Amino acid sequence: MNAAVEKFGRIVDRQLEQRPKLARGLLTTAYRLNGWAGRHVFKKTTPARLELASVCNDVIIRPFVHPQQSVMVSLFTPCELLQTFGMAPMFPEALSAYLSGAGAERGFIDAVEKRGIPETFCSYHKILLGAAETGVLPKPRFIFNTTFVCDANTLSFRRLAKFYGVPHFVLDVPNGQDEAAVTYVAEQLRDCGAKMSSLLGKPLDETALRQAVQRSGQTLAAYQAYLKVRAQKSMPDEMTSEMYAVFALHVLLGSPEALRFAQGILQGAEDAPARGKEVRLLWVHTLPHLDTAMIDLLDFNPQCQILANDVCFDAPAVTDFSDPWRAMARRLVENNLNGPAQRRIDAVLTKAKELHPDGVVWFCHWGCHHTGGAAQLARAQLEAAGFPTLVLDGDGCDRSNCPPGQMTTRMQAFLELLEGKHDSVHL
Amino acid sequence: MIAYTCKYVPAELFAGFGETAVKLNPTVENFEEADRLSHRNLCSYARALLQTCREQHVKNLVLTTCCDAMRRTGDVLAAAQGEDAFLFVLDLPHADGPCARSRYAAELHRLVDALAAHFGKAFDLEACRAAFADREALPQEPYLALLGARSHDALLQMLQKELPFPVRDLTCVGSRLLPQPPQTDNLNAFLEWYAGALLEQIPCMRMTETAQRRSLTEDPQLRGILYHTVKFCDYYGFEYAQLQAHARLPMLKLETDGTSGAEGQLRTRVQAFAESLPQQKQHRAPISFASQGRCTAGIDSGSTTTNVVILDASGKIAGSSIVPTGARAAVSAHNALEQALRQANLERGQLDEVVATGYGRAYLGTGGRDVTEITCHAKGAFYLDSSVRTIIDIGGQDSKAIRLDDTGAVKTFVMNDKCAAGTGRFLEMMARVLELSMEEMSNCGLHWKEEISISSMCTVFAESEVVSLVAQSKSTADIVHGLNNAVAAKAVSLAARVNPQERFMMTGGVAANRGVVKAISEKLGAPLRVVPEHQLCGALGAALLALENP
Ligand code: SF4
Ligand code: SF4
Repeated sequence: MNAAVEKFGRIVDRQLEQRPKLARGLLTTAYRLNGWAGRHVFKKTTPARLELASVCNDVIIRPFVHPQQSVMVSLFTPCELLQTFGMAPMFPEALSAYLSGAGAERGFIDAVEKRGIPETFCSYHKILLGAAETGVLPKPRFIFNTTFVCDANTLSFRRLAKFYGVPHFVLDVPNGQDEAAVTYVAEQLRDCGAKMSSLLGKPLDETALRQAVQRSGQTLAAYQAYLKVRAQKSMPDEMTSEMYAVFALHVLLGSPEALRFAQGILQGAEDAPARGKEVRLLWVHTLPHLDTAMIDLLDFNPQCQILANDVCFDAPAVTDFSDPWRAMARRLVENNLNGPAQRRIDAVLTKAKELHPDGVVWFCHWGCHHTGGAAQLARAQLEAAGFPTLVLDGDGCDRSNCPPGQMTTRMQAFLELLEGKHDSVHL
Repeated sequence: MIAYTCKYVPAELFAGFGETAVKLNPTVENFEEADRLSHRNLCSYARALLQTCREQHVKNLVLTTCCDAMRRTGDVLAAAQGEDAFLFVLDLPHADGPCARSRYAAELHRLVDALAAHFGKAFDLEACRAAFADREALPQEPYLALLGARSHDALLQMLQKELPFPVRDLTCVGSRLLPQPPQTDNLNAFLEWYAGALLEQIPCMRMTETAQRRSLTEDPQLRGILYHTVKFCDYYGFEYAQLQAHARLPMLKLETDGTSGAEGQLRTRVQAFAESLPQQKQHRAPISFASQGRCTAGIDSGSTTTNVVILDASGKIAGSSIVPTGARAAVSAHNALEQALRQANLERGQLDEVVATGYGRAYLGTGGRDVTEITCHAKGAFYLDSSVRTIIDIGGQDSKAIRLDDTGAVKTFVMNDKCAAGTGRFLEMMARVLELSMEEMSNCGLHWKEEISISSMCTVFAESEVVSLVAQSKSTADIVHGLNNAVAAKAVSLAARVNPQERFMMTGGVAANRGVVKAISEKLGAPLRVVPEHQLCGALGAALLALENP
């Protein structure tokens, strides 16, 4: 980690339990500076990605400064509803990535482990709980999450709703992909919409909702189109960009900014040079984009590029938005990550055939049973289809779960294998 | 025979096909096959289940989409089982409203159809209805509850044996309780009712609405709680954290890892808990040294050292010894006792009573009683300083935090898990890497200049972290300080779980390390007392107990 960041993290750490407001102030200032620097100093990536980075930075600052207009959500919560009420989302993956980006994850993790939260719990959620329970993250207006993809959602949001004493809305998403499941979720969404409207004292504007849902469909379609073009192009970028894309294609879906981003990178891909001899990777799940050694291997490396991340092509680009509730419900129910692991594996396989990566990295973030549990199943099938696959254990935001050397040695050996430096490697 | 795993599985339904239902709660020798097929970080129940299904060729299995681990187990098994196997995953809703019930009823219907197709038999509703057991009446006597995640049978048996009250299994799967079914021969109506009855049980932690779980801890007959969690399962860790914050009753957390390996340590915790239950202590006479006129010894057989304390007829420490524990605990105990007897000028025959404690306590063959080190440490520390309310004990291989009440009785305690993180062993290994003696390490960390954080507490990873710090030419004092802080953080977070109160005392071998003591005290924000007898505390407590309870 950069020494200045490390120092900053330590200063924040020291304030956590006694002076949480000071820690909040320090973080907000740092993020404002980061936003400014992003716009004016570090201009390495494409304009569309730069703009998105700046949007994400604002998303992070908002709940610290205007908590009453912010809603805590899970990554897969359909947020179009919130947009129509003028409420801003905040969610564990972004918050935790930012807090660990500021070198400040340790204190938050310690704070919750001290309160008895299992060490084995997902670190994105541990950091979120830590930020809340130390008082650094102020009380949101309400909490709105799905039960979808990850158990951590059920646990942390329930605990936080109690901790903050705020209203809590939960969408129960079934495992199956039938129409009855879509109806089940759509009914719950409608019900949540009505309850939020009375809670906020604002009428629900169905026209605005329909427009937002329509934008979501367009955004996802544009992103799919981008991937088709990307398959033939060379576009070195940083891991952080992929994380931002995950945010745009979930929590920010439906917003004009997300649509602009998807259209922008499509344009950028069309203008990019043709693919060269670089090693091309297809990534699964979140990225350890804070680990210095991984950054050295993967960021802006013309010889090695990440083509796409499966959490960016998980949702179907629903085209029928005559009933916006059903459209949002369908996006959840038919998401590649819902249901048996085979659905996710099939989706990765299909995309691999379209993008022709040299290899696939199946990243098992600490505590994620959802992804880790399917890793060997996936590896066997991907390799049988001719895509060398690395099952990589690590952590997307807690550095102490990325033991020095371990993660990068395996990654490096895999890259050497793909570059043809070894005949075979036992990873 | 059809195996099942979760209380929301309609186990009575199997009787409708002439099959018996078997609840699977296995422990295994190793996870070889499970790790080959899946991932090490899956919860250990799921891994044990995978391993067992593969080893024993479990043919018929019904699962629910209980959690991520179960979903993936279902996926992996579906791919691995042969054609003739029957594997069914019920999609269990998280909610309990009318819509959720209809969905679940449809799932039950799907199961009936699949079973009919698999066994080539029609469903016999009458036989299924007959399989519903009568609800047991609630016991009207004091009991202890086993709460939390499913427990394997051996654990429950051990608890029944070691504890002074009957133990009721109210874990997620143990608390399965259904009413009698209605008189109907309409399958749809029956399944609607069945789905409702299943979902109406006391909710498990994966349900959205869990308020009803409060009834589990509010029964006036309940005397204490054993809280079971499974390694890498987070569901019940959350409830435990919440209960612990508002604990009204004595509570003990037990974590298992799907193997039977940690039996000894679990038993120690359970016995210590039994010793701390209020009913037990009433029989004990208060200590009155002058009138006893007896000589006693306490032997603490730890993983690193064996310690002995001898109390003379006036209740004073007449002799003591600390010897390294060799390969055979009984031999070391014998030697340590001899050494202490020599110092006290006594013969073995003059000892009226010997109490053993520590890991090796059951194997010493001293003929006396054995008491857990938790109770002994508490006794010893309180005897040395009756103002102590929280003890932090870091020994060679484990660490504990113990909270005392005003009379010196144990109110609650926690122990670290199996690994060596934050123990004396951890420091020893790091000292070796740094080429320091323990003495040097103790002083060296006091003279640091730059703050370094060691992020990994796992001995193996920390070792490579230290090596890389050395390579970066960081000063030894700074590295040692970083290590001290890491150990202190671990100790303080352990202590935080017993709701610590001043005044603090540190016991155990690591209390000799001044750097660690200082770091802990800073993190606690309170002074930490270390007495010269810190390492003898357990043995002293044992000797006191021998005196107290002839
Ligand atoms: S936690 Fe609930 S759903 Fe999971 S096995 Fe236990 S009873 Fe079943
Ligand atoms: S123990 Fe926990 S993680 Fe494991 S199967 Fe049960 S609920 Fe799931």
